[in-house]
Amino acid sequence: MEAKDKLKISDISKNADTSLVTITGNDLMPLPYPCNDMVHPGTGKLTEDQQKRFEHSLDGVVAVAIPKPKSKAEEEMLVGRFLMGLRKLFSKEHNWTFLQPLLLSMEYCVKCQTCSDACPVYEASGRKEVYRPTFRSEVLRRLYKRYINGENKLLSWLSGDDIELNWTTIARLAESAYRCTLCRRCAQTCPIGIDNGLIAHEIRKLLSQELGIAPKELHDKGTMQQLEVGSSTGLKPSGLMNIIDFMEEEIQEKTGRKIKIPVDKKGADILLIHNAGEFLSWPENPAAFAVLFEEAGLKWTLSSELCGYDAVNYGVWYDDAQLARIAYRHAKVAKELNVSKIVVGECGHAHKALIVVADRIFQGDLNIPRVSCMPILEEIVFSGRLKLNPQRNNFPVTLHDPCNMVRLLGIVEPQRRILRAIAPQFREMAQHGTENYCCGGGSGFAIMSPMNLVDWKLGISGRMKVKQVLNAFQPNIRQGNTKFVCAPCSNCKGQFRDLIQYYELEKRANIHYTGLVELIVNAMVDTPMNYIPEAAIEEVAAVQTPVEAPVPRSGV
Amino acid sequence: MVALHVVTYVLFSIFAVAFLWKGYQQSKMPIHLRWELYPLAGEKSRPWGGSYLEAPDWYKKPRKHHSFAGEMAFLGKEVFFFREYFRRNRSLWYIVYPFHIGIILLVTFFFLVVIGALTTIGGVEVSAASSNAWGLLLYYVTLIVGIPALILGTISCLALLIRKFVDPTMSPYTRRVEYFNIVFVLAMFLTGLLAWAVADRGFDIAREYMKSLLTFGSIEGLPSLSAAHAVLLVLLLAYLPFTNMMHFFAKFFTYHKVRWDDCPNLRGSALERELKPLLEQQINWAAPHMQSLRRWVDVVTEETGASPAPRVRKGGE
Repeated sequence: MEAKDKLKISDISKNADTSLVTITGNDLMPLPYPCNDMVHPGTGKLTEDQQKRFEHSLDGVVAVAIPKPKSKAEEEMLVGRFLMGLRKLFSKEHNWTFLQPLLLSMEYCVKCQTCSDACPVYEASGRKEVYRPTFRSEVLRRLYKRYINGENKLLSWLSGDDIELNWTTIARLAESAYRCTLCRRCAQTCPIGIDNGLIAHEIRKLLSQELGIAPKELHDKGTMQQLEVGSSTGLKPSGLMNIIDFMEEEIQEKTGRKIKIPVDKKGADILLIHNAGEFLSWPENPAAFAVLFEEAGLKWTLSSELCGYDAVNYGVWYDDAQLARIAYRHAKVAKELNVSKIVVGECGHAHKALIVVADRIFQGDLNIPRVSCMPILEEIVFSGRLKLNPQRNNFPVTLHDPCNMVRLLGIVEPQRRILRAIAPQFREMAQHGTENYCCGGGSGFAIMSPMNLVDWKLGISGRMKVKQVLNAFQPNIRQGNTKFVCAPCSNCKGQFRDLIQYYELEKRANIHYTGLVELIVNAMVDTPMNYIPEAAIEEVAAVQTPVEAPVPRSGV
Repeated sequence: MVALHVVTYVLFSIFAVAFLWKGYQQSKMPIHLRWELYPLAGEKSRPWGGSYLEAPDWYKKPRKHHSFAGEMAFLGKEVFFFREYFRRNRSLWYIVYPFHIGIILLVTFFFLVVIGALTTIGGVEVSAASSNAWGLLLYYVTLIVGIPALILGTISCLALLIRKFVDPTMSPYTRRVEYFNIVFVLAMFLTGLLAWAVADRGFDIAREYMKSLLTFGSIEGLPSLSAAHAVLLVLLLAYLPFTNMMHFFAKFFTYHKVRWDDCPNLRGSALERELKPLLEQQINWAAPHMQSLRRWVDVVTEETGASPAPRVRKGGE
C-alpha cells in the first residue's frame, strides 16, 4: 500500500500492513554529470514470500530480517521483553556504558531539526520523514517518557506521548535503527549536543542484548563467527597463512623485494591488525603495509591467533558485550605476543572500536596501547627511508574520509600530508575532514545485503558520497584519465566497490578506488612495475622527485 | 501580599533545590565509554579538528590539557551569538537568537533589580531624580536592559510558538507539553511587558517588591499585572528543572562530558581504577549470548572459539 504523505510520530504504531514510506527513483537527490541521467529503480520489491515472512513495514526494505511473530501471544511476549530491555537501557547497572549521553539526548532535544540537513540519508532520499535523524529518536523518547519516566496515562496523554508500544512499533523502530549509518554528522551540527546517532546505536543495543535481534551479518556471521573461528569473514588461521604466502609472492613479483612477513613473532614492537577482509578481497593492502614496515625497519608482527588477524569489531555498531568480547580478544593476543602496542590497519570502525570506544573497558596488563596506522605511515613517508616519486601517482586522486577516523577519532591530517606529498593531483571533496559524508556503508551496511537492502544502501545511503566524488573530479570528469578515490578503510572500500559498479562510475568516468598504502608503494621508485595496475602512467620522470617536506607538526 | 511572598519563597526554593539536584544527578552519573566528537574546541593546536591520536606514540607523551580559553570561546560564541544556529539553521536563528537574548537580558534585569533593591535598602535612591550617580546609573541601566528583554522575549516567543505550530518539520515533533512550555514563557514575558507598560515604567515597583522579598517586609498596592508577572516568573523557575527547557544546563554536560571527553584510560591511571567497579557490576540482559555474562568483566575470562587449525607455511617460519 502507498505511504502517507504527512507522517505523525504516532503513526509508527499504526497500520502494520502499510509501509510508512515508499521510495521511488524520482524522489531521490539528483546526481551531477555524468550520472545525472541515471534512473534509479527505487527500493526493490520484496518477493511475496519475503513479505509474508519478514517485517518490512517501515519503508518496504529489510535490513534486520525480523521474522513476523506467529501469534498474538508471541507478539505480546516480545513487547514485554522490549519493555524490560527499555528499563535496562535506562539503568545505571545495565547500561553504565552509555547512560549519561543517552539520558542527555533523551531529555533535552528541542527538535529544532538543525540536524536534518546534515544527514546524507535524509537528504539523498528526497527528505523522507522516516529518515529524519529525529524521527526514531522521538519515537524512543516518547516511549521512554511514557513507559519509563513514571508518568501515568493521563499525564502521558497531556504531555503528548501518544505512541502505543505494540509489536508494529518495535518492528519499525528496529528497522529504523538500521537506516542510520551512525556517522554522527547530525550530532556534530546539533547546537545543544544531542546525539541521534547514539540513540540509533542504543536502540540496536536494546534489541540485541535483550531480545537477541540483530542482522545476521553483524551477529551470527559477524561477532559470533569471529569469536568462534577467528574472523567475521570465516577466515581461519590456516587460510590466513596461505594468503600470507601468496602476499609474499605478490610482493616479490610487484616490487622485486623478498620479504618474509613476520607472524606471531613474540616481543615485536608492533602487532599490526588488519580487517581480515583485506586479506581476502584486497591482499595488496596488507602486502603494501609489509613492504612499508620492512622498508622502515620496524619491529612488527601479524598474528594468526583467534581474532588476532581480524581487527573488525562489529560489536561497536550494535552490542556492548560483543564489542567488549572482541576487544578483549585483541588485547589478549597482544599480551601473549608481548608487543608494546597494537597498530590498527586501514579500517575505520576497528579504529573506533579498539582505540576509542573500548578504551575504558581495559584493565591492567590487558590495557595495552592501541594506535592508528596513519601517523606511523606519515612518519615512514617523511622519514627519508623511502625513495618516492610522486609523478608515479600523477593522476587525479581524492580522499574519502572514513567517519570513524576523522569525526570520531580526530585523525585528520596524517593521511592528507601523505597524499599531498605523493599525489600531485590530489584534491579534496567539498565536505571533508571532520565534516565529511559517510560512504553509505557505515554501521555495518557495507557488509549487509539481505533481500532488498542493497538498493537502499547504494541508491540512498551511498548517494551523497557518489555526488561528492563526481563533484571532486569535475570539470574534466569525462576525460579518459584514471581517477582514484583513496579510501583508507576496508568497509568503505567495500562500499566503493559496489557504488562504482552500481553507478557505472568506471565506465562513465574511469573512477577507481584504492587504499592509502597502495598509493605510497605505487610511488616507490625502485619497484619495477606499478603496484596499482589501473594506475599505470606512461611517462614518468626517470629520476626520483623528493616528496615535499612535511608540514611542521604542531600540538604533538 | 503575604501569600505572594510565601509562594515566591517556596517556588524559588524548589527551583534552587531542583537545579542543584539535577547538577548532582549529572555529577553522579557513571563514567561512560568514550564517545567524543571532533573537532574539540579545546584542541587549539589542531584547528583542522585533529586529536592527540594523530601522534604515533601519543600515550608516551604527557597529555596536554585542553585549551580552556578555546572551550570558553566556543561556548561564548554559542551563548551570545548562537553560532551553530546561525551557520546551519538561519531561518530559526532569526527567532531563537532574539528569544534567548531576551532571556539573557531578563536574567541580567533580574540581578539589576536585586542590586537596585539592595541599593535602596542601603539608603541610596534609584530613580531618574536620584542625586546619587550610582542610583542614577542603576536606574537607567535597568531600563536599558529590562525593556528590550521584555519586548524581545515576548515577540520572539510568540514567533517561536507560531513557527512550532505551522512548520511541518517541527509541528509533528512538538508534544503538547512543549507548546504549553512556550505559552508559559510567553505569558511570563507578556505580563512583564504589560506591567511595565501600564504600571511600572521605571521598574520602581519591581525594585520595591524585590526589596520586600529581601527584607521579609511587606508591600502595599502591588498592581495585579506586576503580581501576575511575579507569580508566573517564579512558577516558571520552579517548573524549569523538570523540562527540556533546561537545555542550557544540559549543554555543559553534552559538550564537556561527552563531545569533548577524550580522556584516555592509561594503564595504572586514576581513570582505570575508577572504571574497575563499573566493570564488576552485575548485569542481567536476557538475550542468549548475554546469558553467560553476569558482570561486564566476565568477558575477560570467557573462553570461546575453536582451537586454531594447525598452521602450515611454505618454506618454514
